[in-house]
Amino acid sequence: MARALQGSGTARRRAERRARRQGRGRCVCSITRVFMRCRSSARRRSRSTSTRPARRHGKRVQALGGAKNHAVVLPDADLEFAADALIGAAYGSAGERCMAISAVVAVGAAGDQLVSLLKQKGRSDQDRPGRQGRRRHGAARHRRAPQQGPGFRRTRARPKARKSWSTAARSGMKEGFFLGTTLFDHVKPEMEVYKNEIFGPVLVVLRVKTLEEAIALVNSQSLRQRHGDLHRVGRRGAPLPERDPGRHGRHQRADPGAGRVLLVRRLEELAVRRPARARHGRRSSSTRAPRSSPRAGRTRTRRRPASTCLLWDDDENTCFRYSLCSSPAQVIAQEYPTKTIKIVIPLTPGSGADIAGRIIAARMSEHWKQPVIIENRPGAGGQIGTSAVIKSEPDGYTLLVQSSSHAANPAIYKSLPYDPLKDTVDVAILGKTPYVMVTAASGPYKDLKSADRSGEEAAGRAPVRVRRHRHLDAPRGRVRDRHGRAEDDPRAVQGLARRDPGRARRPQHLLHGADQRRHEPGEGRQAHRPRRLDPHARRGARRTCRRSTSRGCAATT
Amino acid sequence: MPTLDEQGLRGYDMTLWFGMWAPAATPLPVVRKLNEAVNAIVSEPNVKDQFAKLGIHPAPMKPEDFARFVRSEIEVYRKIVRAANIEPQ
Repeated sequence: MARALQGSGTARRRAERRARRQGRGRCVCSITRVFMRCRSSARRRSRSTSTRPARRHGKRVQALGGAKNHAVVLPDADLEFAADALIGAAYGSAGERCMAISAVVAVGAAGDQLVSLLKQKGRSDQDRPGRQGRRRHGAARHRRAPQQGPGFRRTRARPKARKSWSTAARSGMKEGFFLGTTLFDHVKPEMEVYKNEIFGPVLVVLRVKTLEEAIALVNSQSLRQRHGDLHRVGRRGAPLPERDPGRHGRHQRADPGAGRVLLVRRLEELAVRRPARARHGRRSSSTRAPRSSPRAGRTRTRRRPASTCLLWDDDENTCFRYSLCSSPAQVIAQEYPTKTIKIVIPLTPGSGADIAGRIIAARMSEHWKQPVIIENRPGAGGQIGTSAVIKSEPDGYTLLVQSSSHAANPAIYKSLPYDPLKDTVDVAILGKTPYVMVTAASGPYKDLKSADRSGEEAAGRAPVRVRRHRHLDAPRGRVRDRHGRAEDDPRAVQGLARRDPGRARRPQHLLHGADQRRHEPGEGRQAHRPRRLDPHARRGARRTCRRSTSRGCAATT
Repeated sequence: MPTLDEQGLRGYDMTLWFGMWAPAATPLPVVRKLNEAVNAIVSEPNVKDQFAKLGIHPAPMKPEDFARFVRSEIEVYRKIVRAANIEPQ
C-alpha cells in the first residue's frame, strides 16, 4: 500500500509553486459551465492552480480543492444506520474522487460500537473491479489515477493510529486496484492522515468525549469543507432553530464558523415502521393499516428509530440534508412542499375525479404557494396512471386522485400490475357521491318494486338503469339501447350514432321512456331531449332535493 | 325521495367516492400534512358549494380511517363481483 501511494505530494507541489511564480498554472479543464465557485475552505493551491488559469482563459471551474468532511456521530445515534451511511459516504465513490465523508468524530460511547460496525460492514469480499461482477464499494484507486495524499506515507511511519483493516492488494488485482476500503481508528488531530486530504477510500475515526469537543475539533480542521456539492432541502436563508438544550436530539447548533458538521442523531419521537421485507425496494406503508383488516396482520413490521442527518451551515444560516443518508421524514414534512406537486388522475379530463381533483389542486396551490399540476393518464380502468404514481419517487410530490374504482379494480381485473393495499398509501378522501336511481316520469315504474318486477319479466331489458354520469370519452361499456342490443353490437352503434350522435353526453337518453316511445322517421334532435326524470330512490338518510313529479312518484316522495 | 332502505332493499350501501393516494413509501408526516390540507380544503364553504353542484359530499377522514374505509370498499367490490358471477378480466 505504501508503494501505491508513492509519487505524490512534494514534487508536484514544488512544481506547482514554481509554475505559480512564473505566472503559469496548470489548466485543469475547459469547462464553460459554472458548477460552483470555490469558497474559503479549499486549499489555496487548488484555487490558484485551477481557477486562476481558467479565469485567464475566460472559463470558470469548480475548484473544491482539499476537503475533509466530518461526520459527528453522537452516542444516541442509531449506530447501525450511521455505519451504513458512513460506509456509503466514505467508500461509495471508490476513491476516484473526493470522499463525501472522510473523517468521523465519534462522541463518547459511540466509538467502539461504531468502529466495530464499520469494520463489519466495510470489510467486504466484494471489493473488485466493476467488470468482475457484483461489488459493493466499487473499485478502489486504480494505479493510473493521479496519486494524492502527501504525507500519507509518513503517517504509516508514525503508526500512532491503529489501522483497522485494508482490503488491499487482492490477488489478481496487482496491476489494477490495490487499495481497498481502509479505516484508521484512534486518529489524533495532529496526525498527517487527518491533516491531509486523501484521494482514496480511507476513513479516519477520531474519538472525543463530548459534542463541544467534537465541534471544536471540526472547527480547527483547516480542510473542512464549507461549500460543497450537497443536496439542499432547506430554503436558503431560512432561519435556524435556536439551540434548545431541553430537546436533546432535535436541533443542535454548531458554534459560529463551524462549517458543516454532519450530525447523526436519533429522533426518538419519530418512529417509522418498516416491513420486514421491502417490496420493490421500498418501504411499504400498508403497515399503517388497522390491525383489524385482514391484510395488516400478514405484514410483519419492525419498529426502527429513524435517524436524521442534518448539516448546519452557520455561515449561510442554512439547513442541509445530506444526500447519502436516508430521508429525515420530519424535516421533509416541515418543509413540504418545496416544489411542484403533480397529481396524476388516471381518468379522462372531465370525469368526476378529474373535476374534484382540479378543485382540490387549485386550492392546494393557493394554500402552499407552490404549483400543483394535474396530469391525466387515462387507460385500463386507471391502471396506467396508478402504476405511474406507484413507480414515482415516494416523496409526496406525486399523488394520485382516483375514484372508487381504485377499490373496485382488484375485484374486476384478474391481475393488476400493483396491489392497491401495499403499493399505495391512503392519503385522504375528497368526497362521496350517492347513486340516484332515475326513470322517466312518464314511465310505468313508480317505485323500486315495480321496476324490479318489470326487470324480471323483461330479463335484461328493463329500462331502469342505475348508472352514474358517464364522460363523453369514456370507453364503451355494455350499455344497451332500447332494442336490447349491446352498445358494441354494430347495429346498435349505427342506430345510436345516426339518431343521436350526442348519446354518450346524455345518459338520460336511455331512460327517457324509450319503451313507450318510438322514434318516428325524421324526428329531430329535439325529440330526444329527455323528459322529466323521476328520482325513485337514493341512498342515505339525507334528502337533498325534493322534486315535484308529474305523475306516479308523488306517493313515494 | 325515498331511500333504497325505505323501499325495502336493505343493506344496499354503495357510493361513488374520490380519494387521494401516494406511493407506498411516502413519509407518514407528509401523508398527514396532505391529509390535513385536503380535509381543510373540502370543508371550505366555496369548495363545498362547488362539490355540491357535482353531487359530491365532503366526508373528511384521517388517513387511518380512510385506509380502513378503502379496505372495506375493496371487500365490498370483491363480494359483489363474486355474487354477480362477473368474470374478472
